[in-house]
Amino acid sequence: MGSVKRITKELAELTQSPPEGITVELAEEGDVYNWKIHMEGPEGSPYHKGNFLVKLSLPTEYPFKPPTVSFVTKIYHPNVTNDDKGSMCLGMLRADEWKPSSKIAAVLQFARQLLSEPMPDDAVEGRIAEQYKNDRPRYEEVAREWTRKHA
Amino acid sequence: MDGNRIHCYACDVVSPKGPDLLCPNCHSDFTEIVEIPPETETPEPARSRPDPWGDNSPWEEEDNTGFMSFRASPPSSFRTYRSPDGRFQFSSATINSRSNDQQNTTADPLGMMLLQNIHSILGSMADPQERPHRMRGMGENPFLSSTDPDWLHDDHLTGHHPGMPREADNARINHLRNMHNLINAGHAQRGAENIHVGPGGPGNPFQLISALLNMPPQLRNADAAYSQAEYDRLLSQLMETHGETGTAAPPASRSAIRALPRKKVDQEMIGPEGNAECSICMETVALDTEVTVLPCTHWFHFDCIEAWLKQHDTCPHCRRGISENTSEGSTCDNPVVIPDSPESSRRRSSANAPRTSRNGRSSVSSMQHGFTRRYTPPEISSDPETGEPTAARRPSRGEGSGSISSWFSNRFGSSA
Repeated sequence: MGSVKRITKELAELTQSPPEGITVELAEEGDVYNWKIHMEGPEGSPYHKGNFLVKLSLPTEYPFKPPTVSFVTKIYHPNVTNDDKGSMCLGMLRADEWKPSSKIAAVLQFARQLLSEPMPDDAVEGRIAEQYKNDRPRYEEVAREWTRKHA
Repeated sequence: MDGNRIHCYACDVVSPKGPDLLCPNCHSDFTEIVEIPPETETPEPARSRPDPWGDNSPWEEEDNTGFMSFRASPPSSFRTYRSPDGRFQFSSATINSRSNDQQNTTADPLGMMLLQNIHSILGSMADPQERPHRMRGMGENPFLSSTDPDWLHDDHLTGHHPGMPREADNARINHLRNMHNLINAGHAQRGAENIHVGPGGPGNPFQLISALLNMPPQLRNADAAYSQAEYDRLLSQLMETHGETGTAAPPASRSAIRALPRKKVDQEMIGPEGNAECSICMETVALDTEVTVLPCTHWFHFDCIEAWLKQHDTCPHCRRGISENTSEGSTCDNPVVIPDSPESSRRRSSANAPRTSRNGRSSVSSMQHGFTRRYTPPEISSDPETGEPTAARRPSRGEGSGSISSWFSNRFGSSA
């Protein structure tokens, strides 16, 4: 299928010139559908100095279906589910927002950008979103604490 | 039954009228004859019970078996009473778990299903341990409240939802399946509702359950979302289970895809850098390769764009529809006016959304935008003579924003 070709190509591009703060590799050699991403917490965010392990899975229908992104490293963030899945599902990652012309590089940059600028109105963790909106210092404190502990 | 009773103002009791006008209860003569309109008393199955006011407790005689045992096709009765002055009204339902030969109810699957639902509600009611946070926001909605996983109760007003499948999803799917069945069955039931109210008594469990929940026995069951958030969630869940991309653009028709113009890549398309790629397969496209061009001028390999258009009738790049020049050649003279780009309308709707769903925005508003802002798709599209969109059915889907039942009708295919 053409998808493997495209994925390989994207992987090659990403390994050669990775976006800032992001390194990619295959989770397992020979399986192009599952990627292991190391993401540095962006500067100026409470996640700074943290190193987050992110799993990116590509559906076999890629690029016609969006990849799924999940944080293996626990993270305190309104847009990442606070469970063992650590799912992030918004914006371009949603099936109905996805465009096949979006690249994985863009997905990863989008995910990292989200660490700097959470989208509390699109939150999966309502409580964290509330806190982010109403009590920013406390949110940052907890996020920093979690980053120190887990990332 | 003559329908005449007396209301005693001394003890405030309504009793059957005796030969005189004295209250049989307190023997006061401060009474008034009241007429109870016949239709307020639904016909009862053989007035075997002496006191219709006192027989509404299913537990009365069945302590040894408990109400759990009504799982097996229980006979049921349902009555409505109105106070003499008409100011209040109440319904009672009796479920009898003992084997009953006077009513030979054939177990219908819908009834069984509903009763199982009720069963689980009652079951968990009986066990206070199991329902610590039951009442929050949801009322007694049988479709959602009985065995739902905790996430349904957590934070739903602030937007918490299952972003991805979790362990609890099986339960959720089962519930939704139940719901679908109920709704579908509801359609079938609608026409036949009154048939069951005959001299044999209303044996229709659908009515019984509805009455228990104080809701009319129609599709309004599904409206039992007690907040906007719940309502949204309900809708999105249904849409998700009914097609994984819910609000996404519908597929393009095969003919619309084939009708797209093809073109050999020329120097202009390749651009000054001299290399262009199909943004779906990301292959570099050489000069003179044949590609398919969409009305928005974005172009792709035919195979690539075909695969996408079979799922969604929009440009993978800019999301514009592809239907402009596919209808009977009339649009060359009557170009379709392109409304706001779908992207901007999406953004707007997501900004307005009071809360977010898995799809991240208010389902209702996005349905409106998603369907009514799109040009009419090719299959339904234009009147060849005028180029005007004919009374397209698709936009009407979105119009039912206020009424979940109309959405269901469309979605689940009513007779209309």
